[in-house]
Amino acid sequence: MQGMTGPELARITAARGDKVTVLGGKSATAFLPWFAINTQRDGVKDERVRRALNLAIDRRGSAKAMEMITPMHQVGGLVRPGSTFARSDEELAKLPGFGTDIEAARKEARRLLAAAGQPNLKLVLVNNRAFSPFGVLVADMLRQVGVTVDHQALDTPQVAARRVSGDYDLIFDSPAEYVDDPSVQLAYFEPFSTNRGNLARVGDPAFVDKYQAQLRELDPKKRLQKVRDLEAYLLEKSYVIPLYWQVRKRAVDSLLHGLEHDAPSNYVNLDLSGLWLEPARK
Amino acid sequence: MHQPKPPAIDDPGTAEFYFGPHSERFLRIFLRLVLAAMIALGLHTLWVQPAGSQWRAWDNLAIAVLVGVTLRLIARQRMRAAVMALLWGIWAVLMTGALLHPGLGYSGLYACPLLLMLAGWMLGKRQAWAMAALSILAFTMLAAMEPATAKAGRESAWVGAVSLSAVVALGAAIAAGLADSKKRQYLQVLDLSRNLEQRVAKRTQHLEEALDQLRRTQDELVEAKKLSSLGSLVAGVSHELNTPIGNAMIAASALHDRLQALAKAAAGRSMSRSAMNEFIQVGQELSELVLHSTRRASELIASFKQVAIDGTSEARRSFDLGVALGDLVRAFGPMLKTQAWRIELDVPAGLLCDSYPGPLEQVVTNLIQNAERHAFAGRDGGLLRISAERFPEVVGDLAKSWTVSPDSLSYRFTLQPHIKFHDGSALTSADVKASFDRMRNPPPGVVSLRQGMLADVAAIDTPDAQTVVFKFSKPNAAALQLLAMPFACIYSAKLMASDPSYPGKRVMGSSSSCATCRGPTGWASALPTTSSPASPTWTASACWGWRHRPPPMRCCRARCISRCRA
Repeated sequence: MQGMTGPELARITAARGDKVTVLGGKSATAFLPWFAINTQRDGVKDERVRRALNLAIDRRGSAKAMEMITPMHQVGGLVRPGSTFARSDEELAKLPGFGTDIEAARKEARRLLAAAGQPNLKLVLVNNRAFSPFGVLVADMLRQVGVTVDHQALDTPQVAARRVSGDYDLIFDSPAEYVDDPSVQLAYFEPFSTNRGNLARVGDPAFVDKYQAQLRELDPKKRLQKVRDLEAYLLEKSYVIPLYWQVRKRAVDSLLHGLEHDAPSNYVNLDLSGLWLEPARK
Repeated sequence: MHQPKPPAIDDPGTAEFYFGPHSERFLRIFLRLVLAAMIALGLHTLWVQPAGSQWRAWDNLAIAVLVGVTLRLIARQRMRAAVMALLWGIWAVLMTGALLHPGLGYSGLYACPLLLMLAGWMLGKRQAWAMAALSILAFTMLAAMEPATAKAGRESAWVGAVSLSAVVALGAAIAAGLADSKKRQYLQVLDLSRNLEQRVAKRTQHLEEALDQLRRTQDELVEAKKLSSLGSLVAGVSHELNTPIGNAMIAASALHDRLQALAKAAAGRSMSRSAMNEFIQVGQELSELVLHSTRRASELIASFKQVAIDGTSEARRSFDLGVALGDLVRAFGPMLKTQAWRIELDVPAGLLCDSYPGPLEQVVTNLIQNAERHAFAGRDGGLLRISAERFPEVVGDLAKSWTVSPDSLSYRFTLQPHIKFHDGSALTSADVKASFDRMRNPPPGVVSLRQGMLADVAAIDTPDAQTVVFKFSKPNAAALQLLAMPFACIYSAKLMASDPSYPGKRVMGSSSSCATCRGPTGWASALPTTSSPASPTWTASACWGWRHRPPPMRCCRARCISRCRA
C-alpha cells in the first residue's frame, strides 16, 4: 500500500527485467504524514515555538535523500499537490517551512525560540517504529536550531497508548484521506473537545470560523480563496509539522493487468475486481 | 563422374533405348562382366582345349571384341548403335560359327530366339523381323549344305532347320509384341508430356475459377452478415420502438372508445356529471400515456439517428459523453440480448466533451465488437465496463442516482435494486439511515471519529425502501464527499437493533460493495479465525450475489502480523 522507493524498484527491475511493470509515481497520493505538536504541553504551547519548529525543517533540501528511503518524499502544503485546491510551488514557498532559503528560515527559528524564552528546548518525540527515518530527520533538523529531541520509536500499541494519554510533545500521525476536499483533509484540526483524532489537542475558534467559511461557500472560486487562507493560517499556527506527500510506485508482475497506475488515494479502487492475468509466457 | 543424359523423350527414334540412368548403369556393368568372361573363356579355350576345338576360342574372343565395341558406343552416348552392334554382332558370330563348323548342330543357334526378343524390345519389331528372316535364310542354307558338312542325314537336317525357323518365328512374334507394347507406353508418356502444359494451364484455370468463386462466396457471406447485422439492428430498433408505439396505440384506442361512449351519452342526453368527471380523469391519464410513449419513441429514433450520423462523420462538436455513449450502447442492445455478457456504462451525466464523436464512437464500437468476438466468445458471462471516473468526483455504488435540491440542503438518493447482505436479507434505506445515525449519534461505548464531519446532517428520511433523503441544516460544499466516505459502512438495522455492538464483532458486507464475502446461502467464515493470538487470520469467501460481476476469486485469507522483528 505504501509503495516502494527508487532503489527498491531499481533492484527489482534489474533482477526481473521485463517480467515486472512499475506502476504509479506520476502524482501524489492523498496521504501526508506529519508530527502533531501537543499544544497542551508547556514547551510547545507558544505559537512562536511551534512556528520555529516548522521553520527548522529543510523539506526541499532533504526531499531527494528521503526519496531513497521512503515513498513519502514529495513536498507540498496541507492539500494534495496537483489537486484543485493546491497552490503553485512559488506560492507554496511563501508559507512557513516551505521557503527556499533554509539558512534564513533557521535564523528566524532561533530568533523565535529565543523570543519565546526557549533557546535550549528539549522535546519528546513519539514515533511509530515503522516511520523511524522521519523521526531521525526531524530530530536532526531541530538539533540545528538548538532543540534537543528525545526520539522514541515505539511499536503501534505503545504509540496508540501515548496518543490517548497525551504524553508527548511531538507525535507521528499519518492521516490518509479518500478525497481532496479540504473539508475532509483539514477536518483533522476540528476542536479536540469533539474530535479525539486531533493529536495537536487544540481547539482554535479562528480555525473553526475559517473552516466553516470555506465549507459553506458554494461558489468554487470564492471557496478556493478561503481554502488558501485556511491552509496559510494552519501553517502559521503550526499545529503540525508536515512531512512529505506519498508518491506511490509499485512493481507488479507484468502479467497482471487492470491495476490502476496512479490511484490518487489509498482508499479508492480497492475492490480489485478489474484485475486480469495475461496467460503465462511459454 | 560423367552422368549420361537420357535421350529426349519426344524423339521417336530413341524410344526403344530409354532405360533411365539406373538401367544404363546396370547394362554397362553387365557388359563389362560379359567382356571379361568372354576374354577369359577364349584364352582358356585357346590354350587348354585340343587343337580341333580352337575355333570356339575365336568365337568367344570375337564376342569379347563386340562387347568392347558396344561399351565404346555406349560411352559415346550412341545407345541404339551400341545395342544394334551387340545384337547383330552376336548373331553374326553365331551364324559364322555354325557355317564354319558343326552346322545346324551348333548349340549357339538356340540363342537366336533370345536375340530376337532383345532386338524387338530394344530396337523395334522391324529389326526383330529382319533378324528372324535372315536367321531362317541362314538355317535353310545350313540345311542345304548339310550333306557335305554334317554327319546327320539331309532329312534330319531339314527337320532341324524347320524347327529352328519355327522357334525363331515365334521369338520374332513375341519380340514384335514387346516392341508394340513398349511403343504404346512410350507414346502415352509422350502424349502426357506434350499435354502436360495444357493440362497444367487447364487445371490452373479451374483453380482460378474456384478461387474467384470462393472470393465471390466470401463477399456474399460478408454482405449476408452485414445484411444480417442490419436485419438484427432493424429488428432491434423495431423491437425497441414497438413497446412505446404499442402503448400509444392502446392508449389512443381506449381514448377513442371513451370518446365514442361520451358522444353517445351526449347524443342520448344521458350523460351525468360523474361520467364526465371520470372521462376527464381517464382522458388525462390516457393522453399522458400517449404523450409519454410517443416522446419515448421520438427519443429512441433520435438516438439511433445520432449514432448513424456520428458513425459517418468526423466533425468536431460539443457533445455529452454520457448521452453519446449511452446511445451507442443502446444501439447494441439487440445484439447484447442474445449474449451472456453485458456492458456497464459508468459515465456521469452532463460530462461535456468538445471533441470528435464519430471517431470516438467508432473506437468504442470496435471495442464492443472485439469484446464479443475475442474476449467473451465461448464464455458464459462477462462485463465490459466503460468508465469516465474523474477523481475526486463521487461515483455511485450503492446509490444508483441522486438529486440535490436547489438550496443544497437536501440530497435524495435512489438505491440500487436487489442489494442484499451476506445473510440474504435485503439492504434497504432503513439500513442506510441506521448506519449514518450510528455515526452521527453513536451509542454509549462507541467512539465515532467522523461524528463532527456529519454535524450538518439534520435528519435522514426514508420515504420508501429504495430512497433515502439526507437533510442538511446548512449548505455544505463537501456534502457529497462526506456522505461517500469509505468509512461509512452500511450495517444491518435489524442486527444493530438486536445487538448494537455487532459491527465490532462481525463482518457482514453487501452485494453492492464487497466482492469477497459469503453469498446469501450462508455466512460463516469472514471472522478472524485466530490461529495464534499474535497473528490472527482472516478468511473471506466470494459473494456470488455481488452486483458488479462474478468475483474473480473464491476465497482469500489474510494473516495479520502484529509485530515484525528482524
